[in-house]
Amino acid sequence: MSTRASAAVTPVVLPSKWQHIGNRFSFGVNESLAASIRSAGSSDAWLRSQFDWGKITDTRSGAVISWFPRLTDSPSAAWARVKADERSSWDYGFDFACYSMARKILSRRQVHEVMVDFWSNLLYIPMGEDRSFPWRYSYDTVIRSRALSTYRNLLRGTIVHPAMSGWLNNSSNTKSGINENLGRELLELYTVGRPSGYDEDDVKNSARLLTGFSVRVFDDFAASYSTANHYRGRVRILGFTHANSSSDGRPAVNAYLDYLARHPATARRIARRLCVRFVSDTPSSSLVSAVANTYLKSDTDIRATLWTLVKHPEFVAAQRKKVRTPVEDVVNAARVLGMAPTGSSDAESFAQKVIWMCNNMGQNPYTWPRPDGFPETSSTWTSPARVLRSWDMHYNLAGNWWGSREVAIPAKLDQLPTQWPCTLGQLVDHQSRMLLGRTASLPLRAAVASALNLPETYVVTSAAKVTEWGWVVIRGAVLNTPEGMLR
Amino acid sequence: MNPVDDCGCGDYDVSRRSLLKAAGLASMAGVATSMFGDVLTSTVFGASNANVLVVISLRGGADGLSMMVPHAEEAYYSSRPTTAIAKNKLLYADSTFGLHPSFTALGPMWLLGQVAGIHAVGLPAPNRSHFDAMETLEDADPGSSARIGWINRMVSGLAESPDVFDAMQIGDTITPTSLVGPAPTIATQAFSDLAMPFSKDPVMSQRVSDSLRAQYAARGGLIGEAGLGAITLAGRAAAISGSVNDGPLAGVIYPKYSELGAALKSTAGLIRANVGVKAVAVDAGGWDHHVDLGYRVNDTVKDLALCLAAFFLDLGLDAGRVTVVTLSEFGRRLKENGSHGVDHGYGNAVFALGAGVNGGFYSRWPGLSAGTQVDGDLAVTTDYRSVLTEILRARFPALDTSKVFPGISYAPLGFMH
Repeated sequence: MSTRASAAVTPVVLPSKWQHIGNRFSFGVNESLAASIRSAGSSDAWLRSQFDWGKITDTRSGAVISWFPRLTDSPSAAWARVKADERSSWDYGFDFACYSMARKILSRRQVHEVMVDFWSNLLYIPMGEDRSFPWRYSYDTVIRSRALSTYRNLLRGTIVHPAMSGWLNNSSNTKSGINENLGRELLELYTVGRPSGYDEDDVKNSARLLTGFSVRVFDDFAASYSTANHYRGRVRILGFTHANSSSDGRPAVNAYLDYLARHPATARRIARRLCVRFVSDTPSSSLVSAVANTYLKSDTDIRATLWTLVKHPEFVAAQRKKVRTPVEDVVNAARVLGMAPTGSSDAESFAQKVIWMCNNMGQNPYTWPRPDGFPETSSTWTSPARVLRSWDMHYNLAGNWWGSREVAIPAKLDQLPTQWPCTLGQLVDHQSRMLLGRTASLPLRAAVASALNLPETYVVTSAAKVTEWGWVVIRGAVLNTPEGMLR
Repeated sequence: MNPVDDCGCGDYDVSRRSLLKAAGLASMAGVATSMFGDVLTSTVFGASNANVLVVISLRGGADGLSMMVPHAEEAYYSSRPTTAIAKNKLLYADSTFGLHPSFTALGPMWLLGQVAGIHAVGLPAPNRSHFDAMETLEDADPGSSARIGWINRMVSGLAESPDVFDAMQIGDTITPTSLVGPAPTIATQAFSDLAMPFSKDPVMSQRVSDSLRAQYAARGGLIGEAGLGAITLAGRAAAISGSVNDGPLAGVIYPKYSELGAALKSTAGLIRANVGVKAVAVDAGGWDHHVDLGYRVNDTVKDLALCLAAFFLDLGLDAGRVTVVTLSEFGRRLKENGSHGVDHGYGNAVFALGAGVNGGFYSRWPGLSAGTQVDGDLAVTTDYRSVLTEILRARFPALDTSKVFPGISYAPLGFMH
């Protein structure tokens, strides 16, 4: 980073529209991200460059996998370790959750990272689940590689993936014994949804067509396609029909997935979910239609679809209207406070402690117990108990009161103004600009003054006069303003 | 707590146990306990020692046909060649039904006539979606577009201005649909979580509360209301925390690493403390048994039975005012699938336990013959709202149940007195 944005007493903040794009399409607008938006010249230009994520070097985030060497175990090796009681599936899942959180904090490809999170929550598989855990990291790499391509492509990569086959029992769905689980959720959750009006016969045919994908669960977890297990014969599902006469059903499955991805009901469902995540709990039908239309016209292109969303007046008008989920809250706080995980050697490492911080606020990453993913509505995450836990956690993070290790925290001196003296009120404003990208409200200034039992006009003569305690109280209070809970 | 709806996936429950165990290190399971001041609390807060309803949601679609087995039905045995439970293994079998053998821990309660099993219960129309069915079940007002859950309507009907402690979800900070609505409710992992920052430092805590109140009041909207609610809640919780004992009472043992057990332990403490709670919602996931039904149902029923038995013991003298009902979004298909499991079905069994219950088996049994099935599933002859109405009428006689469940036809089965 060339210049420290914190140098002045009143650091420059992004124009609010740019800040808005940053808030919605990253896990936290820190100094470095604000600088990259500025250097792109506009938030539009920044978004376009972020869409082209492969061109952004991302060394720190790319190195995270090396902290978790077991995640790249082959499925058979992972299973062998579990059988030998060397590790448990939970250990693999926990590694995966830590890996995922660390990437969210560190990545320079923030739009990509946000979309990986979005699709991982839609095409959801929990961490450490016994029938899928050896394949969970591989599943993540598929989502990563396709998160900004097309939904058609994403569906093809995820639905028949061995992790999904294990999780939703498709690995035991055979022509001689149908298991409906994946066939049903494919229709209900991942594509058309219940308003499309599919019936029980559609569910059964959906399951029949998905036979043949085999995973030797609790054996060596080897995945293969078994023509002997594939059900042959004509299927009809909603408006899709296929002779399905070949012993290899995979081409028919791809045709079916393409049909579902391109279905208008899928377009509405995906568009609505995107709008709830990126605009508001209650997107208008005109916004949803606009987004769905682009989805259909572009043949399910994710970047084109997102572009329509961000260009819509309703998106532009929705600044600071979404409440951060606990996971978003922790990652945002870590990013704006400048806390960067540097490894994951033991339970004291920051990369591991962030999991328990999320849990403490009511959202343990990747532990939603159902296949529909965590709710993305703000109303879900505004129970008084959650708010209390967040307030507490912001102070804990600001002071590193959980004593996390393997974390790089910038020196206090580098995050304070360089011009002294300044008043307590100015100091609060300085931190509000740094952490929230906006000036401090009068009640926020008053809040800090009250907590420290000092007047706002109290003159701080030098950086050395800012005590550790005062520093935590200021930063915790900034994160605890209503605006600090919103993105 | 949303324990696992594991969709029948391996030893996921084991994973969750390890998770809880590890979480204990980071305060998830670390529950502060203390036990004094009940009397003070009851006078100061006008807390009631009235009746309490505890609703346990068996999420994932529990298989009622395994829990309350219709052993006289040839169709049950022919449809489930590898997963049916032989009659001689069932507990307390009568001529029609018997309990799953893993209910052993509830034996004493059953023999005392405090457990009722009610079969062929469910939604008015089949709905085999976990998500839609649960939403419908908890909203329980199909004619209305207002998103108000039935427990919220229940506590609204019991007091002109319901108290924040009237209805709670224990185990998870996410409010379930049954609690959503105008009456204030609480969703929390544990009672001890309801504290302001710096709660050990009264001066600092007060300053922080005051300034957060000013900021959140000025902000308004969803987050503003949530912030004000949080401050009020923390204040109330602090005032009574001394009397809430997260227990358990001496000699009571909940199953280790059971999330249901942890939630019921907190619930028992809350009820014993007489803080005025009238309804508690608790989630118990892990019932989506698409594979290996026999093994999975063993585990889940055993955990449920052990937790419930411990809970009623833990309630001590207060057990006399607590009624538990179990609900699940749908039953499973009669015919087992290719994975020794059962796919999503329709009619289901409900259990009512504790105060006011006339124990035994109840059902307007439709039979399982092909002609009576609904698309391969057990038919529903008793609307689940009718079952709940029967409980509410017995335990909360002042309540107008027609406002809790608008428009249903109520037909009591006699399992409550």
